[in-house]
Amino acid sequence: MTAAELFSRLQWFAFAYFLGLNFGYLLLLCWSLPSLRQLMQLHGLGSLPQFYSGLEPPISVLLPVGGSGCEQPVATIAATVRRLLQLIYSEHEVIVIVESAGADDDTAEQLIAEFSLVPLTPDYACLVTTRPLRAVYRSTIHANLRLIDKERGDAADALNAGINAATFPFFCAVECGLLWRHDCLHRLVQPFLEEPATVASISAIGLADGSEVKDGFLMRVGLPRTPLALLQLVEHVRAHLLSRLGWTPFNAVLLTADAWCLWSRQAVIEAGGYHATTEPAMELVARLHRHRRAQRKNYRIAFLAEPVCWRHAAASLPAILRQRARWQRGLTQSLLTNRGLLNTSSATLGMVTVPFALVFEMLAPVGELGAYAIMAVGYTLHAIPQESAALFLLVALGLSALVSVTAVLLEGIALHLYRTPRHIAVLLLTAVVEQLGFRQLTTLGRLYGLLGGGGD
Amino acid sequence: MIVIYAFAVALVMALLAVATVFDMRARLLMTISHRRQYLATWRPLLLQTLDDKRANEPENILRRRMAIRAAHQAKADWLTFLHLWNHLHESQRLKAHMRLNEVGHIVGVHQVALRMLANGDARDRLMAIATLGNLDEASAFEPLHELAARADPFLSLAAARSLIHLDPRESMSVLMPLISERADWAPTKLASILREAGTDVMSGTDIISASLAAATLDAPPESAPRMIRLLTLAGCDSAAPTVRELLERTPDDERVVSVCLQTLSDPTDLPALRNYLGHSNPHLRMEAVIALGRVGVEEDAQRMIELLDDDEWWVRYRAARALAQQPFATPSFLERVRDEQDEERAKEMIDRVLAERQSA
Repeated sequence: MTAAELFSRLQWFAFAYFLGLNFGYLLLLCWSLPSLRQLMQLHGLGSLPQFYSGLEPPISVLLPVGGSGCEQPVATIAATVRRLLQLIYSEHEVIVIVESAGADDDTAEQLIAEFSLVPLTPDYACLVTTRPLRAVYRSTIHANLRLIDKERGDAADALNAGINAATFPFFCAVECGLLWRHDCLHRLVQPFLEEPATVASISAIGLADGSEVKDGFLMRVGLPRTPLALLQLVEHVRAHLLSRLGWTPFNAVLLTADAWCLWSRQAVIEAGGYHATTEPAMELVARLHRHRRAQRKNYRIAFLAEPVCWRHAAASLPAILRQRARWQRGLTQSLLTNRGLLNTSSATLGMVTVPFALVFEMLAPVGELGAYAIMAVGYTLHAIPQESAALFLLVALGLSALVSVTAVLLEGIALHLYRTPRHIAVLLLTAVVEQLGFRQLTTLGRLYGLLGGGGD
Repeated sequence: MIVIYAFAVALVMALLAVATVFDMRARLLMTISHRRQYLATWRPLLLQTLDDKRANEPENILRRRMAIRAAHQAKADWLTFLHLWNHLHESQRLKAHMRLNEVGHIVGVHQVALRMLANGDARDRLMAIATLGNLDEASAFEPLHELAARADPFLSLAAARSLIHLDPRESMSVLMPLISERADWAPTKLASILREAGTDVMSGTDIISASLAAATLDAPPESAPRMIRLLTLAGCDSAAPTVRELLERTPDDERVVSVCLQTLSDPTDLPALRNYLGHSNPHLRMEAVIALGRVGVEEDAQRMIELLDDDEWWVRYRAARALAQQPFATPSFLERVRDEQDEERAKEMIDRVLAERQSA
């Protein structure tokens, strides 16, 4: 076989991959329409006079700090704790899990002094195995604040300690540096109220750059001002927001990088708690699907279209690439660990969602970069004609830009987070520019993660 | 050519998706606009019925006008009406409730709410439950009772709350068995609901206390701790005597005893809780010494001091704190106690509580 014949055949792989990838995302965007309609109707109800319910189930909020959790100064941790205590919700508790780095680490002591914490008898059952606890404290100022001081482990171990200590039937894990709306818990709990079989409610984390923030709470969403942040926002809308939403009607939301989750404590304990992976929450979602289906239990994992939690965009290209590598590594671990989902009883999950995730998300770095490499080498060797190369660019860049532009328009019209014509115009332009280098760079970062890089 | 066709198909899909969402938003904006007009019409009408001074026309004519308007309104408008009606109900005083209920019956709110309860989705049902509870609609008792027995923890608890609004006395007899069984009803929420119904506004008698106490005494062992907590959270007068009786009946059930000890707060309970200061279960020793700190007398100081040398850290700590809580426990007293201790671990605990006191 000559080089021309070889590349003539390989180029079909390149075309097929990008056609499959982009049509897949377009289908997901179309499948997200019912969920967007529901969200818009809910927004409409917000214009009505409200009356108090007060019966929302209580929630435990876990904040792991130190060690594998949030490596931040104590002042930042304390400020985060205060913001969590100010969340507007009928009943919630805050559990800070401190993993000291060593004898010189006095994070626990400083927090104990800051919040007037006194020792408490740890009288709860150890339902998920963790490293030993040193002590449990409760605040004398804030009745709903507790602190767990434990031996250093990994992120999953800290969260599992929090699960053991949690009093309430639902819990969520947070990090320092996140920004919330005051009513974020109220929004996050809604799927559980609508469907009692819900075991997890997931919200994509939005980007806070350019937004109005007051006292640590996000007051009004704004458009990022830097090109890097804008590019990340468009990528986020396409890859994390609407594509996840597309799986919701099929109860097949699977991979949840860059998301905030509210969990049923009972369901998570039955599934074995968090496991030690690069992205424990992502792996837990996949395992919940597998576990509930294996148990033949009715369940739902909901995805909220509208972000209720925000973070700042990575500030530099190396930071972006490290982040993408970490997510990709987490995604790979989640899929490989839970590859039993391929044999699940669900037609959509086993025959559509998981294969799509394997081919177009886990192997995307190989597929995309491989396709570029095939066309570039083939064109260089004159094995691929100019017309084919141009058509490939139309598919790879043009179709991808179309998907991004569509996602931005859908988000703009339905969620209405970025409202002005100028905002929409900037985002549309960014959706096109994203294809001209940024996407390829992040794919390189993802390749590094796929090959095992990007760990903690 | 395949690629060109594929691109064309993709473009069409994208345009259709965008057009669909655009259409959805346009319809939503029209709906919101309509709702604003609807509220601008009905809010003044309802407010007029609540306040004689605001009325622009005789009340009977006003009510007839509302009935006619309601009879011809679209199904979608009922949701808006119920939001407004419930919002006013929760923000107005008791006298206004009766007027709102009269208006509600005139316009047919009870019929709409019963239909939503039977056929609606989760949100509609929640709206219906709240409405029927506020409306004092007697015919809703059975449907609400049925809903309170369902597995959905949120809707069932909401139904229980509305049942109690409808008829506090009657609802207690049907809800008590459920309260015993429903571990998924958050105790604090349930206690809040029971506190609302605690006093019959007409006779002033405590409705729930006796029922809850009886249910606690009859509860199976696995439910008893939860019922005791509920009894205490609900602020029932019968909590203390019920707990005492349970302690007498089941002195060996450690889970029940633990919760009972957490509740004891009367000096008459001293003989009972002193029995547990030497229990083999360190958790019970700890709870007993904590309770001793609340209700103990001067002669109990020696008992607390003895526990400073307990093998269990938490018992030693709680004993030190209990001692420090006593009115006679001045810093010099505590220092004297510390100096009299032979064991280092006992001295450490006194030093700890002294330091806590100083930093407080």
